[in-house]
Amino acid sequence: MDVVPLSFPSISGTASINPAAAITPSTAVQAPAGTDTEFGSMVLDGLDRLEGLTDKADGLAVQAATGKLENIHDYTIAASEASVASQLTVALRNKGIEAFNEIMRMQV
Amino acid sequence: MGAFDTLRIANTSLGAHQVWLDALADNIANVNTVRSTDQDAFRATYVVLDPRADGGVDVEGFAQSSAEGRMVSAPDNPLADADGYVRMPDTDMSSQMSQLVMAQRGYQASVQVTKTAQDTYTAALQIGAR
Amino acid sequence: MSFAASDGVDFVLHTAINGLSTRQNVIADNIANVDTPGFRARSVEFESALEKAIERGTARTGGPGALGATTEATDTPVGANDNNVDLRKESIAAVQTQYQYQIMGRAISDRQSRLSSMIGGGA
Repeated sequence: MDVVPLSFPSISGTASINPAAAITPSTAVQAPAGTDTEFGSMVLDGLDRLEGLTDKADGLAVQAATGKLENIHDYTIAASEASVASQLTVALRNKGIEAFNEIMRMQV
Repeated sequence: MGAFDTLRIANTSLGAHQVWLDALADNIANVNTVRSTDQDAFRATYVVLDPRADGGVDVEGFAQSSAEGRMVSAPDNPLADADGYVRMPDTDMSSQMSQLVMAQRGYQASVQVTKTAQDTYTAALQIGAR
Repeated sequence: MSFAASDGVDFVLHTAINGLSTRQNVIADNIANVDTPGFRARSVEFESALEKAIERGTARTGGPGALGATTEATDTPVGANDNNVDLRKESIAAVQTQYQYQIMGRAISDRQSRLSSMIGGGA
Protein backbone atom coordinates (compact mmCIF):
# COMPACT_ATOMS: atom_id res chain seq x y z
CA MET A 1 0.00 0.00 0.00
CA ASP A 2 1.31 3.43 -0.86
CA VAL A 3 1.89 5.69 2.02
CA VAL A 4 0.46 9.03 1.20
CA PRO A 5 2.08 11.78 3.25
CA LEU A 6 -0.45 13.57 5.34
CA SER A 7 -0.74 17.25 4.73
CA PHE A 8 -2.16 19.50 7.27
CA PRO A 9 -3.75 22.86 6.55
CA SER A 10 -1.46 25.63 7.78
CA ILE A 11 -2.44 27.03 11.16
CA SER A 12 -3.30 30.71 10.87
CA GLY A 13 -0.55 33.03 11.97
CA THR A 14 2.21 30.54 11.60
CA ALA A 15 4.09 29.11 8.75
CA SER A 16 2.99 25.60 7.87
CA ILE A 17 4.63 23.09 10.08
CA ASN A 18 7.86 22.17 8.41
CA PRO A 19 10.43 20.42 10.56
CA ALA A 20 13.17 21.44 8.22
CA ALA A 21 12.56 25.13 8.67
CA ALA A 22 14.71 26.91 11.21
CA ILE A 23 12.92 27.72 14.35
CA THR A 24 12.71 31.47 14.36
CA PRO A 25 10.58 33.61 16.56
CA SER A 26 7.51 33.50 14.45
CA THR A 27 5.00 36.26 14.14
CA ALA A 28 2.56 34.41 16.36
CA VAL A 29 4.77 34.79 19.38
CA GLN A 30 5.68 38.40 18.77
CA ALA A 31 2.99 41.04 19.00
CA PRO A 32 2.68 43.38 16.02
CA ALA A 33 5.58 45.79 15.82
CA GLY A 34 5.05 49.08 17.65
CA THR A 35 3.48 47.88 20.90
CA ASP A 36 5.07 46.17 23.84
CA THR A 37 3.54 43.15 25.47
CA GLU A 38 0.24 44.14 27.05
CA PHE A 39 1.03 43.23 30.61
CA GLY A 40 4.45 44.87 30.57
CA SER A 41 3.06 48.13 29.25
CA MET A 42 0.29 48.03 31.83
CA VAL A 43 2.86 47.85 34.60
CA LEU A 44 4.98 50.67 33.17
CA ASP A 45 1.95 52.91 32.59
CA GLY A 46 0.81 52.12 36.10
CA LEU A 47 4.15 53.18 37.54
CA ASP A 48 4.12 56.46 35.61
CA ARG A 49 0.60 57.20 36.69
CA LEU A 50 1.42 56.27 40.28
CA GLU A 51 4.41 58.62 40.32
CA GLY A 52 2.25 61.46 38.99
CA LEU A 53 -0.50 60.90 41.55
CA THR A 54 1.98 60.51 44.41
CA ASP A 55 3.73 63.74 43.45
CA LYS A 56 0.39 65.53 43.26
CA ALA A 57 -0.63 64.29 46.71
CA ASP A 58 2.79 65.22 48.14
CA GLY A 59 2.59 68.69 46.61
CA LEU A 60 -0.82 69.31 48.16
CA ALA A 61 0.40 68.01 51.53
CA VAL A 62 3.28 70.51 51.40
CA GLN A 63 0.78 73.25 50.50
CA ALA A 64 -1.27 72.29 53.54
CA ALA A 65 1.89 72.41 55.70
CA THR A 66 2.76 75.94 54.57
CA GLY A 67 -0.81 77.14 54.93
CA LYS A 68 -1.53 77.49 51.22
CA LEU A 69 -4.11 74.75 50.70
CA GLU A 70 -7.32 76.03 49.14
CA ASN A 71 -9.59 73.15 50.11
CA ILE A 72 -9.13 70.22 52.44
CA HIS A 73 -10.80 67.87 49.97
CA ASP A 74 -8.20 68.74 47.33
CA TYR A 75 -5.61 66.96 49.45
CA THR A 76 -7.78 64.07 50.66
CA ILE A 77 -9.02 63.22 47.18
CA ALA A 78 -5.49 63.30 45.74
CA ALA A 79 -4.22 61.14 48.61
CA SER A 80 -7.04 58.67 48.11
CA GLU A 81 -6.27 58.41 44.36
CA ALA A 82 -2.57 57.90 45.03
CA SER A 83 -3.33 55.21 47.58
CA VAL A 84 -5.62 53.31 45.19
CA ALA A 85 -3.07 53.63 42.38
CA SER A 86 -0.30 52.27 44.59
CA GLN A 87 -2.43 49.33 45.64
CA LEU A 88 -3.24 48.65 41.98
CA THR A 89 0.45 48.75 41.06
CA VAL A 90 1.29 46.36 43.88
CA ALA A 91 -1.49 44.01 42.76
CA LEU A 92 -0.16 44.06 39.18
CA ARG A 93 3.33 43.35 40.42
CA ASN A 94 2.11 40.45 42.54
CA LYS A 95 0.13 38.95 39.67
CA GLY A 96 3.11 39.30 37.41
CA ILE A 97 5.32 37.45 39.88
CA GLU A 98 2.69 34.76 40.35
CA ALA A 99 2.38 34.25 36.61
CA PHE A 100 6.15 34.13 36.21
CA ASN A 101 6.45 31.52 38.93
CA GLU A 102 3.69 29.47 37.34
CA ILE A 103 5.52 29.48 34.06
CA MET A 104 8.79 28.52 35.72
CA ARG A 105 7.05 25.61 37.41
CA MET A 106 5.77 24.18 34.16
CA GLN A 107 7.27 20.86 33.19
CA VAL A 108 8.56 21.09 29.70
CA MET B 1 -5.31 79.37 54.59
CA GLY B 2 -7.90 79.40 51.85
CA ALA B 3 -9.35 76.17 53.15
CA PHE B 4 -10.58 77.95 56.28
CA ASP B 5 -12.02 81.09 54.70
CA THR B 6 -15.47 80.16 55.96
CA LEU B 7 -14.23 80.34 59.54
CA ARG B 8 -12.56 83.68 58.96
CA ILE B 9 -15.68 85.15 57.33
CA ALA B 10 -17.93 83.87 60.12
CA ASN B 11 -15.53 85.38 62.63
CA THR B 12 -15.77 88.83 61.05
CA SER B 13 -19.54 88.58 61.35
CA LEU B 14 -19.31 87.55 65.01
CA GLY B 15 -17.12 90.55 65.69
CA ALA B 16 -19.35 93.01 63.84
CA HIS B 17 -22.54 91.72 65.46
CA GLN B 18 -20.89 91.89 68.87
CA VAL B 19 -20.08 95.56 68.27
CA TRP B 20 -23.70 96.13 67.23
CA LEU B 21 -24.99 94.35 70.34
CA ASP B 22 -22.69 96.44 72.56
CA ALA B 23 -23.96 99.66 70.96
CA LEU B 24 -27.60 98.59 71.37
CA ALA B 25 -26.99 97.65 74.99
CA ASP B 26 -25.51 101.10 75.58
CA ASN B 27 -28.43 102.84 73.84
CA ILE B 28 -31.01 100.90 75.81
CA ALA B 29 -29.20 101.37 79.10
CA ASN B 30 -29.18 105.14 78.52
CA VAL B 31 -32.74 105.55 77.31
CA ASN B 32 -33.57 107.58 80.43
CA THR B 33 -30.34 109.54 80.73
CA VAL B 34 -31.23 113.12 81.44
CA ARG B 35 -29.09 116.09 80.44
CA SER B 36 -29.64 119.75 81.01
CA THR B 37 -30.66 121.94 78.09
CA ASP B 38 -27.29 123.54 77.74
CA GLN B 39 -25.71 120.15 77.03
CA ASP B 40 -26.16 117.68 74.22
CA ALA B 41 -28.68 114.93 74.80
CA PHE B 42 -27.41 111.41 75.10
CA ARG B 43 -26.81 110.32 71.51
CA ALA B 44 -27.69 106.76 70.56
CA THR B 45 -25.05 105.00 68.48
CA TYR B 46 -25.86 103.36 65.18
CA VAL B 47 -23.36 100.86 63.81
CA VAL B 48 -22.68 101.05 60.07
CA LEU B 49 -21.73 97.68 58.57
CA ASP B 50 -19.94 97.21 55.27
CA PRO B 51 -19.06 94.07 53.31
CA ARG B 52 -15.38 93.20 53.08
CA ALA B 53 -13.69 92.70 49.73
CA ASP B 54 -12.29 89.33 50.77
CA GLY B 55 -15.58 88.13 52.24
CA GLY B 56 -17.27 88.89 55.53
CA VAL B 57 -18.40 92.10 57.15
CA ASP B 58 -16.66 95.07 58.73
CA VAL B 59 -17.82 97.81 61.04
CA GLU B 60 -17.34 100.75 58.74
CA GLY B 61 -18.17 103.43 61.25
CA PHE B 62 -20.64 104.78 63.72
CA ALA B 63 -23.49 107.26 63.33
CA GLN B 64 -25.11 109.05 66.19
CA SER B 65 -28.61 110.29 66.78
CA SER B 66 -29.39 113.95 67.17
CA ALA B 67 -27.83 116.08 69.86
CA GLU B 68 -31.09 117.90 70.49
CA GLY B 69 -33.00 114.91 71.73
CA ARG B 70 -36.43 115.55 73.13
CA MET B 71 -37.26 118.46 75.33
CA VAL B 72 -39.23 117.10 78.24
CA SER B 73 -40.88 119.07 80.97
CA ALA B 74 -39.56 118.00 84.35
CA PRO B 75 -39.54 120.99 86.70
CA ASP B 76 -38.58 118.88 89.71
CA ASN B 77 -35.44 117.56 88.07
CA PRO B 78 -32.28 119.21 89.50
CA LEU B 79 -30.99 119.56 85.93
CA ALA B 80 -34.05 121.42 84.69
CA ASP B 81 -33.49 124.82 83.16
CA ALA B 82 -35.42 128.01 83.91
CA ASP B 83 -38.46 126.75 81.98
CA GLY B 84 -38.38 123.35 83.66
CA TYR B 85 -37.14 121.44 80.61
CA VAL B 86 -34.52 118.78 80.39
CA ARG B 87 -33.10 116.94 77.41
CA MET B 88 -33.92 113.27 76.98
CA PRO B 89 -32.47 111.09 74.22
CA ASP B 90 -34.74 110.61 71.26
CA THR B 91 -34.10 106.86 71.24
CA ASP B 92 -36.95 104.81 69.84
CA MET B 93 -37.11 101.89 72.27
CA SER B 94 -39.13 99.63 70.01
CA SER B 95 -36.61 100.12 67.22
CA GLN B 96 -33.75 99.35 69.58
CA MET B 97 -35.46 96.19 70.84
CA SER B 98 -36.16 94.87 67.38
CA GLN B 99 -32.57 95.64 66.38
CA LEU B 100 -31.50 93.69 69.44
CA VAL B 101 -33.35 90.64 68.16
CA MET B 102 -31.83 91.11 64.69
CA ALA B 103 -28.31 91.46 66.05
CA GLN B 104 -28.67 88.40 68.23
CA ARG B 105 -30.08 86.35 65.34
CA GLY B 106 -27.24 87.52 63.11
CA TYR B 107 -24.71 86.50 65.73
CA GLN B 108 -26.28 83.08 66.21
CA ALA B 109 -26.47 82.52 62.46
CA SER B 110 -22.72 83.03 62.19
CA VAL B 111 -22.12 80.70 65.12
CA GLN B 112 -24.10 78.11 63.18
CA VAL B 113 -21.96 78.78 60.10
CA THR B 114 -18.90 78.07 62.22
CA LYS B 115 -20.33 74.73 63.33
CA THR B 116 -21.36 73.77 59.80
CA ALA B 117 -17.89 74.66 58.53
CA GLN B 118 -16.36 72.36 61.11
CA ASP B 119 -18.65 69.51 59.99
CA THR B 120 -17.54 70.17 56.42
CA TYR B 121 -13.87 69.98 57.35
CA THR B 122 -14.45 66.74 59.24
CA ALA B 123 -16.24 65.25 56.24
CA ALA B 124 -13.41 66.29 53.91
CA LEU B 125 -10.92 64.57 56.18
CA GLN B 126 -12.90 61.33 55.97
CA ILE B 127 -12.27 60.97 52.22
CA GLY B 128 -10.01 57.98 51.73
CA ALA B 129 -9.25 57.71 55.41
CA ARG B 130 -8.34 54.27 56.70
CA MET C 1 11.14 57.83 40.84
CA SER C 2 11.49 58.96 44.40
CA PHE C 3 10.77 56.08 46.67
CA ALA C 4 13.14 57.42 49.29
CA ALA C 5 11.96 56.33 52.68
CA SER C 6 12.44 59.81 54.07
CA ASP C 7 12.81 62.87 51.88
CA GLY C 8 12.08 66.57 51.90
CA VAL C 9 8.34 66.05 52.11
CA ASP C 10 8.65 64.20 55.42
CA PHE C 11 10.75 67.05 56.79
CA VAL C 12 8.12 69.60 55.76
CA LEU C 13 5.26 67.60 57.26
CA HIS C 14 7.07 66.95 60.54
CA THR C 15 8.07 70.58 60.90
CA ALA C 16 4.51 71.65 60.24
CA ILE C 17 2.96 69.24 62.69
CA ASN C 18 5.43 70.28 65.39
CA GLY C 19 4.70 73.94 64.71
CA LEU C 20 0.95 73.34 64.87
CA SER C 21 1.31 71.49 68.15
CA THR C 22 3.23 74.44 69.61
CA ARG C 23 0.56 76.77 68.26
CA GLN C 24 -2.20 74.77 69.95
CA ASN C 25 -0.44 75.11 73.29
CA VAL C 26 0.06 78.85 72.90
CA ILE C 27 -3.59 79.35 71.94
CA ALA C 28 -4.72 77.34 74.97
CA ASP C 29 -2.48 79.51 77.11
CA ASN C 30 -3.98 82.69 75.62
CA ILE C 31 -7.54 81.48 76.23
CA ALA C 32 -6.74 80.44 79.80
CA ASN C 33 -5.40 83.93 80.48
CA VAL C 34 -8.30 85.89 79.01
CA ASP C 35 -8.87 87.60 82.38
CA THR C 36 -5.32 87.84 83.65
CA PRO C 37 -4.34 91.45 84.28
CA GLY C 38 -1.40 92.60 82.21
CA PHE C 39 -1.29 89.46 80.04
CA ARG C 40 -0.12 89.72 76.45
CA ALA C 41 -1.38 87.15 73.93
CA ARG C 42 1.26 85.32 71.89
CA SER C 43 1.19 83.73 68.45
CA VAL C 44 3.31 81.04 66.79
CA GLU C 45 4.83 81.44 63.35
CA PHE C 46 6.51 78.74 61.26
CA GLU C 47 4.81 78.75 57.86
CA SER C 48 6.83 81.55 56.27
CA ALA C 49 10.14 80.16 57.52
CA LEU C 50 9.12 76.76 56.14
CA GLU C 51 8.15 78.25 52.80
CA LYS C 52 11.50 80.02 52.51
CA ALA C 53 13.35 76.82 53.34
CA ILE C 54 11.42 74.99 50.62
CA GLU C 55 12.18 77.68 48.06
CA ARG C 56 15.86 77.71 48.94
CA GLY C 57 15.92 73.91 48.78
CA THR C 58 17.15 73.56 52.33
CA ALA C 59 14.06 71.67 53.45
CA ARG C 60 16.00 68.42 53.80
CA THR C 61 18.85 69.33 56.06
CA GLY C 62 18.72 68.64 59.72
CA GLY C 63 16.17 66.61 61.60
CA PRO C 64 12.50 67.48 61.81
CA GLY C 65 13.14 69.88 64.64
CA ALA C 66 15.81 71.88 62.83
CA LEU C 67 13.30 74.45 61.64
CA GLY C 68 11.77 75.67 64.84
CA ALA C 69 8.57 77.60 65.42
CA THR C 70 8.87 81.13 66.82
CA THR C 71 6.52 82.51 69.43
CA GLU C 72 5.95 86.24 69.59
CA ALA C 73 3.62 88.70 71.22
CA THR C 74 0.61 89.67 69.12
CA ASP C 75 -0.40 93.18 68.29
CA THR C 76 -4.08 92.99 69.22
CA PRO C 77 -5.23 96.12 71.01
CA VAL C 78 -5.03 96.15 74.78
CA GLY C 79 -8.41 96.31 76.45
CA ALA C 80 -9.62 96.66 80.00
CA ASN C 81 -7.50 94.99 82.63
CA ASP C 82 -4.35 95.65 80.57
CA ASN C 83 -5.13 92.37 78.77
CA ASN C 84 -5.05 91.97 74.99
CA VAL C 85 -6.53 88.48 74.50
CA ASP C 86 -9.21 88.52 71.79
CA LEU C 87 -11.25 85.51 72.89
CA ARG C 88 -13.17 85.13 69.66
CA LYS C 89 -10.06 85.27 67.52
CA GLU C 90 -8.30 82.73 69.74
CA SER C 91 -11.30 80.36 69.64
CA ILE C 92 -11.45 80.42 65.86
CA ALA C 93 -7.69 79.95 65.71
CA ALA C 94 -8.00 76.94 68.02
CA VAL C 95 -10.57 75.34 65.69
CA GLN C 96 -8.47 76.02 62.60
CA THR C 97 -5.26 74.74 64.19
CA GLN C 98 -7.04 71.58 65.24
CA TYR C 99 -8.08 70.86 61.65
CA GLN C 100 -4.68 71.73 60.24
CA TYR C 101 -3.17 69.28 62.72
CA GLN C 102 -5.57 66.58 61.51
CA ILE C 103 -4.67 67.26 57.88
CA MET C 104 -0.97 66.89 58.71
CA GLY C 105 -1.68 63.67 60.60
CA ARG C 106 -3.55 62.36 57.55
CA ALA C 107 -0.71 63.38 55.24
CA ILE C 108 1.95 61.65 57.32
CA SER C 109 -0.01 58.45 57.80
CA ASP C 110 -1.11 58.37 54.13
CA ARG C 111 2.51 58.47 53.01
CA GLN C 112 3.52 55.79 55.46
CA SER C 113 0.70 53.44 54.49
CA ARG C 114 1.48 53.94 50.79
CA LEU C 115 5.07 52.96 51.49
CA SER C 116 4.19 49.98 53.65
CA SER C 117 1.71 48.69 51.08
CA MET C 118 4.52 48.58 48.54
CA ILE C 119 6.86 46.82 50.93
CA GLY C 120 4.31 44.41 52.29
CA GLY C 121 2.79 43.63 48.94
CA GLY C 122 -0.68 43.76 50.40
CA ALA C 123 -3.35 46.43 50.84
